[in-house]
Amino acid sequence: MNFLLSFWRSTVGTKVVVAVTGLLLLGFTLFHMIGNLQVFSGPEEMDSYGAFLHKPEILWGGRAVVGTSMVLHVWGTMKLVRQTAAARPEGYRKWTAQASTFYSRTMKFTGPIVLIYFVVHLLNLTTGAEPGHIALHPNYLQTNGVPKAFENLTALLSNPLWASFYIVANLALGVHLFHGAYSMCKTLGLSGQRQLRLARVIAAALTFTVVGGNIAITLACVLQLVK
Amino acid sequence: MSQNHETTETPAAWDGPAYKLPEGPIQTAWTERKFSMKLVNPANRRKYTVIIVGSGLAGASAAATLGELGYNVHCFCFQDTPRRAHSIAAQGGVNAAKNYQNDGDSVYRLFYDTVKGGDFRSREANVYRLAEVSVNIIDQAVAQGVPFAREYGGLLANRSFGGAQVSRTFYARGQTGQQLLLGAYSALERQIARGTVKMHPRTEMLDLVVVDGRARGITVRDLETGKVSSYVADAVALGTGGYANVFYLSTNAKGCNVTSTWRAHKRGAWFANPCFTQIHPTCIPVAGSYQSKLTLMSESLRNDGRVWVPKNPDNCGRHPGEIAEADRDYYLERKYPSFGNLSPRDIASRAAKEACDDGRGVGPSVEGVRRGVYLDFADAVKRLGKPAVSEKYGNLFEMYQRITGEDPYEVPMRMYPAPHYTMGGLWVDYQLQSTIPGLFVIGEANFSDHGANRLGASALMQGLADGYFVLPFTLADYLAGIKPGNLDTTHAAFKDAEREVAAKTDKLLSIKGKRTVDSFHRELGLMMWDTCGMARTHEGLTATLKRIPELREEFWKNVTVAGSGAELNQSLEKAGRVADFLEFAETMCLDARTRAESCGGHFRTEYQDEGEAKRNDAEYSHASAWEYTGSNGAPNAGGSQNTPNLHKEPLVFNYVHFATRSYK
Amino acid sequence: MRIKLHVWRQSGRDAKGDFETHECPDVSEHMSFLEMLDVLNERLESAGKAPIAFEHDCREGICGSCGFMINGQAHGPQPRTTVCQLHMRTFKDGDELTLEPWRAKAFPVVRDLVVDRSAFDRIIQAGGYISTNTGSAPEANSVPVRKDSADKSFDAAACIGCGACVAMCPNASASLFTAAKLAHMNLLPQGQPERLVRGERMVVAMDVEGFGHCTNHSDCEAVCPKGISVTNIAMMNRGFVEATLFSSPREGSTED
Repeated sequence: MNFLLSFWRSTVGTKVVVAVTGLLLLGFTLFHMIGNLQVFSGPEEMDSYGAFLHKPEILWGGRAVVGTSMVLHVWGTMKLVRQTAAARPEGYRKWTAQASTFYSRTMKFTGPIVLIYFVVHLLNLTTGAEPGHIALHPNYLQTNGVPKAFENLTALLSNPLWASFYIVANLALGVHLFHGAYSMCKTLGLSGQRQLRLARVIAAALTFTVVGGNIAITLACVLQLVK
Repeated sequence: MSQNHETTETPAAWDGPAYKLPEGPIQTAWTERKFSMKLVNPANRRKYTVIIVGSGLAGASAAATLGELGYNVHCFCFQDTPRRAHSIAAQGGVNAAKNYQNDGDSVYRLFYDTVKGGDFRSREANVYRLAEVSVNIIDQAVAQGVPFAREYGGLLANRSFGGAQVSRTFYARGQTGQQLLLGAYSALERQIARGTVKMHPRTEMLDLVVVDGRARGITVRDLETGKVSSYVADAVALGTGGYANVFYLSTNAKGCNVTSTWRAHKRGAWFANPCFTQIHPTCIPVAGSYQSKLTLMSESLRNDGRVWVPKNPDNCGRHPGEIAEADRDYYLERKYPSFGNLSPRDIASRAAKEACDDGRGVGPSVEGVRRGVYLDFADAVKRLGKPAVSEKYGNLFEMYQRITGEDPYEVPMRMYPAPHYTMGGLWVDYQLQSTIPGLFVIGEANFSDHGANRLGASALMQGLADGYFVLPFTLADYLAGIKPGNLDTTHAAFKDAEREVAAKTDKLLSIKGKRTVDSFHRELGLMMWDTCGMARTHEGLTATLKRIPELREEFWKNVTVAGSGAELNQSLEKAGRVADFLEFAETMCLDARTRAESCGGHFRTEYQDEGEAKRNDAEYSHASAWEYTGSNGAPNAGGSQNTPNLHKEPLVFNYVHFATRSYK
Repeated sequence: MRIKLHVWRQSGRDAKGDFETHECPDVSEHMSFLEMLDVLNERLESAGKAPIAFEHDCREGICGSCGFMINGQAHGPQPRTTVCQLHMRTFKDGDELTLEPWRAKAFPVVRDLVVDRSAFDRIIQAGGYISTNTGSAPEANSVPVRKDSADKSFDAAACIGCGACVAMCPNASASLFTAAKLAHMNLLPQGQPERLVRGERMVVAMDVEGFGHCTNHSDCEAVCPKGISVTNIAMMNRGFVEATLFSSPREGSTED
């Protein structure tokens, strides 16, 4: 296992771990968003979807994958950020960006915002399902440990403050995903010019889909289009 | 030293050490010499310490190869890393007698062309060996990963270069020097990693230490801390390049200098043919008095560009587009109808100088003279179309435009000759050993292979030949004859050298005069360029020989060097180098005045046939080796003249017979 | 024209540095940037003051010695141009320019605008070579090389080791430098036997020197005087994964 350890210790190895976990998390956000589109189909579909997610193998399997990915993604990033900070102890008085973008340069800010979003989202709509756990929700409802997904979601997002939080967080997520998805391709070794152009288009499309879907759901709830 | 191969009798006229030429047919001489030389037992090699000064093609390849063989090598360079040595700037290519193009090339033809191109002032046996090992250089470089140009079939491409009738030049776009140097550098770094070579970057050699008549080490200054210290060795090899910066403005890197070879000269190594310098015809002209160096543009431009100046000096200030065809003088085409714009380097250079001296130069006037001629691509664009011209020369045009701000498609390029390479250098025998036993000299720093003129794409070849394939054998032969070690830097000779170096540094810092180092260097350079450059006369050289000691005296009284000796002090570095140029220049002029003939790059106005160089083989078919007679270590700080002794090594031509070059 | 310079001055590695302001009153547009500094330095020297130390040698854009930040841009505003080839016609009368040395932990400042880039040499020592002893090479044409591979290899080999990539990178990463050397050698058949080990060792060496990592900003590519592509970095990453995760430890081993 030494080789895994030395892989992790190298910057390229850590980057690859961050990229692979990022890919898993991207997949998670995409499927999560698609699942949540059930809200437009009404309470029954949404709740049965929620019940499906609460099958123990799916629930715990999903939590293991997402949780591990999240931990490694954040841990790896923090390790890299620390190394980067040490790599230039004295900064420039002047520094003019050349090719780096708003997206690439704000990763270190959008990352923590997405992390906070992730935690808050769990506290909003998941942890309440476990008795005695903290829940950030106006009126959390569940039956036999299975949350009433539709009501919980619409109740939360009909509050304009929560809805604004979700919209802002999703914009940050979008910025993060766009650079992340494209950058991950390079980190994982995609080097052809044509392939990279394609990767950029796919990254933009995925970002637009995830963020667009999430914001659409939020807007639908806050504008009381679904009840 | 082994006596078994001093086979050729040294003629009576030569009173220096044997030059150890091989005997027998020239085709087998090097092979036989390699067999007759002694070897060092592999187990004993690490006991021998070898110092290599310089990390260019010659130095890096020698250091890497000797490290591979197992010697204990120390390599020194003044740059921050060995990869920056000036070999890196060579653009054109490297010659090798591979005959891949099936156009009749051979080792013998490369040998023949080089001797002839050198205007019969080089040693046949050395040149033959150079041509012979040229083929190994390409093999070695390719194996190291040098990305030479290739054909679509995957095999190596060649081009014809510098007027050669065969295509024997291997190239890597316009960066052949860089790619070959990076090959040698990577081999060197590999040895550094293995611990066989210890690299000393930012360390300048300031003296050679000779003990009991043998080179035993060097004294250096750490350029960052200013610390002066010494290194002891069993042999020293100098691969420190040429001295074209004696002209101040040249195509050489700013740091190129004569210091290491000059200090070795003052310790007893004879300096041969210092007046043999090469002027490159196509360089971007001087733009102002602040100019710091000249940039070479590839000679290939002359394949399609036409060189002209206005016929009437009154037209020189006008826009070239306003000058009618009939008022233009395409002087190369007029004077040399058969070679035209492709006339050899020295001829094209002199013709440009004549036109400008005639008051017909173009471009900005710097200190009252316009020094430039047009290199016009208008006809080529008409004939081939702009895309074809751009395909061939686009990157060169861009480079020109970046520097001058002018678009060569709109306004003809302006060119002027500039010092580029120096054929002269420390005298060495066939074994590349100088007149000091244990001091070897490789690459441009020695004098051996190019005679009075170097062919294009032969400098890279020589540096690598010396470093990879000649020195490792000849140095072993020397080392096998001596016992390793038995000396350290507490020896008085090292302490004396350190004291002298420190004293010189202190002296330079203590003068605190009015003139900057650069202003002395510029004055010296201009004087050398005017009188010891493209055309030389007895009177001009005599005047300069009188003026140099005066300038030197002023330098030692009135130079200003800020800062201290115990820090990174670039002015101090320059001052030391200029002080040496001020001594060296005198020997160079003396050599030029003494050689009363014209040959190759040495053109004495008095000796010509209607503008063509007139060689004097009866009296000057020799290498001039100068022996320093002043004090060993201390600088010549006063107005006194250097009066070196001249030794003549006769040159015998058994294979290539004297012929006069003609390009009419 | 008239140029005002704010130059970083620092007398030695451990000294504290600061900005110093100098006026250059009569700058010609035909001067190179370094010639402008030459003129300023001569003036400083005549006044008995220490000239501004900056590294330079060939002044033709190939040796890689020169380089510093001009208003936050490595080698200044002209693309694909080292500072020695940058001419003053790029600027205009009255411009105010801030000159700073390359900044990275792995590039300590030696003096003023001079930094120590020996970390690059150590990365090369870790594996930036093809192990071929002198004399052991086969006939040059015995190994054909596809022209497109040779050309791509050359594009990467054009690196002059100036360090602008590190200087410009928001993370002070040496990925472009390291990846360029790897691509140069790994794209050639001659480089294959040591490909995996080379890739692994050079990446580790880069980390040991204290450079940052690559987050694909591409600022390095934008200031590279030789236009070396960031796609080389992707190839480096791929090679590293292959070497560390998908090859047996003895594969492609080399001398130690």
